[in-house]
Amino acid sequence: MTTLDFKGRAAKALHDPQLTGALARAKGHFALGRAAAKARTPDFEMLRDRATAIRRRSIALMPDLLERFEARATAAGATVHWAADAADARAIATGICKAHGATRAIKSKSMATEEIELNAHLLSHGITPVETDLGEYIIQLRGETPSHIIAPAVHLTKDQVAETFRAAHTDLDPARDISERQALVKEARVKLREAFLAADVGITGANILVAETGTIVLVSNEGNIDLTASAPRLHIAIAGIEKVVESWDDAGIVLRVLARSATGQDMSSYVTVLTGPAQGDEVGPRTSHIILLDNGRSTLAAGNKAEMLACIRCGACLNHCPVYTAVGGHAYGGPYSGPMGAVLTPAIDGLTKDTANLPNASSFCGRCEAVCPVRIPLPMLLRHWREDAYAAGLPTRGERWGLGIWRALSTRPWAYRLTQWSAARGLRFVSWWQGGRIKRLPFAGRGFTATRDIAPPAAKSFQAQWRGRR
Amino acid sequence: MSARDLILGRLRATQHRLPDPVAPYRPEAPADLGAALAARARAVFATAEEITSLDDLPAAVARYLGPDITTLAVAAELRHLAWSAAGLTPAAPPGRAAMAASVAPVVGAIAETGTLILTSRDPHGPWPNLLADRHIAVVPRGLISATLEEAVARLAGNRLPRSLHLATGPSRTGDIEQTLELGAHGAVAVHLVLTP
Ligand code: SF4
Repeated sequence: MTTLDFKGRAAKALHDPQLTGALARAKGHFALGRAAAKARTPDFEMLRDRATAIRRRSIALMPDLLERFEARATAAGATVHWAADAADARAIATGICKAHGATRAIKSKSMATEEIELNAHLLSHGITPVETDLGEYIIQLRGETPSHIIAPAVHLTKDQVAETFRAAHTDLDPARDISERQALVKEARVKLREAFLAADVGITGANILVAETGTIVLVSNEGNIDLTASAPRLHIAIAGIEKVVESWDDAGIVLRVLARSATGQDMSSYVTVLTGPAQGDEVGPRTSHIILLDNGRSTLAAGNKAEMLACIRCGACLNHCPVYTAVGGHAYGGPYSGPMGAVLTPAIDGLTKDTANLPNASSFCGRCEAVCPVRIPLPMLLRHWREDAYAAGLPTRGERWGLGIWRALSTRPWAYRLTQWSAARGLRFVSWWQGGRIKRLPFAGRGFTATRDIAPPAAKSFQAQWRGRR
Repeated sequence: MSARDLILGRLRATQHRLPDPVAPYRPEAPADLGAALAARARAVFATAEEITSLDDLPAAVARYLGPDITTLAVAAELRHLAWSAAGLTPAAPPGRAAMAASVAPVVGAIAETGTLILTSRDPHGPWPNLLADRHIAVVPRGLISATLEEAVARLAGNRLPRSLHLATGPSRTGDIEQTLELGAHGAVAVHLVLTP
């Protein structure tokens, strides 16, 4: 998709003032929302504990629960498909559309369909997909990928959205006023209403699969999922196999922590609960297909990163990550970003020179794990990927060389102290030379100063102070 | 080997530690479910009122809509009420089409979150909330559940409807500059009318 690797993309992002501004605004918005929800929910930590156990149990029982889900969904009249990888899932989805003569598709936001790059595939088979989540619609018109798992257009300003709408909605009066957000929302509402009512097929993801009743549960705030799943005559849901839980009691708890962690709401504005196709004189599609997507998940389940499958895609780890909130989602080079993306992307795309970089995009501050509603030990999983990358020989010669020096120093205290002492003196000199702040460093230090200044080191090192205090 | 066998086989190849079953969440139900529902709904940008007799519905709706809207979609179950006496013209729900305002009874509601429940089994489907600009929901007090779990159990019976639409407050979006705007795709405004 892009020729730059993570470092290149991140560097580019850091030099984009409009993007860094948007990210700073979003970070405050989401973090405050979650904090407020936590504060007004006395049971929040208890709910997190239960959600954590529920998701771990679901992983342990996944094959049984999937079979139960399949049996119940089939009994309710749905057709369940299994897709080993992205190509499988795409072929199944287009096959269903073709079998039903469906050429106009509406879609609700689905990270699974982003993951399998469904839209391009549909287009190449003569099926036109229209994204209906406002953020997804905007980035679809712009030909971009989502930069946040729950706020795909987080990187854009309203002026950019207005520009996009003017370019796309050429049938509307060019002199209309769409300078305000409300006008933009209204224009999209009218445009997408037409698409909803004209579509042959609605394609959604799934937030939860409830094994007990063979039910798909989806959440949205706009109501677009309800329309996508109910207006056309055909419904296709694409769900990662890890979404399954045992019961409605489990689903209820997951929904409670999901809404609070994602947007700071007690309940998402719309929760859509789908069981089989419409029967008798029920309203809704007469045909319902569910595609269960593996695409690396069963391999993930077998290794030391299985806990990642507990993820409920709330986005809290992105919103609280100092790296994500500085570089944004596009730097991660895939639909998933932030700490969860850094763990998931190598599992889905395989460990390559580029994806092996992602687990390095962390300061290991641990905030992601602290806010994760299902307590996934993200820093530990990132470390596992680093170990795997090292074992696979992926770090460059330079990186290995650097690690070798580090090991030599850290196992020889005298050498460590000597190096530290001389480096601190050197840096203090540079800072004095550059006027009190370190603005530019040569060689390997260039990366540190490319986008920020550094304060000079303290006169006495931590170790020296520690020795002095004891 | 089929994809199904491949996936299930891979999953079964690993034994995971199995945590104990998790206790269901059963928060204490408020004494007055109707009052709790209204309070929670108001907290998410809906409005709510209570009437003591269904006969008062047309007048309540007219008051809520104000003078600008006089024609609205009225669910079949409510069509017999004295709408013209309240200055309103009731129309049959248009099915899958836009409407300025729609009044219909809901089959359930959730007090914990201020949520309304529409289903594929309703004669008018979910459209009063999804395609009307203003959704006026008639909520019989006896149909309010304390929690989501209770509501689903109540509606499941032999088989869950094809779709349940749990709507909490008006449709909203924060997708442009993370600023809240109401009325993205579903109802722009939601008004609850509690009835006996
Ligand atoms: S890893 Fe945790 S915090 Fe991050 S998206 Fe998944 S559930 Fe949310």
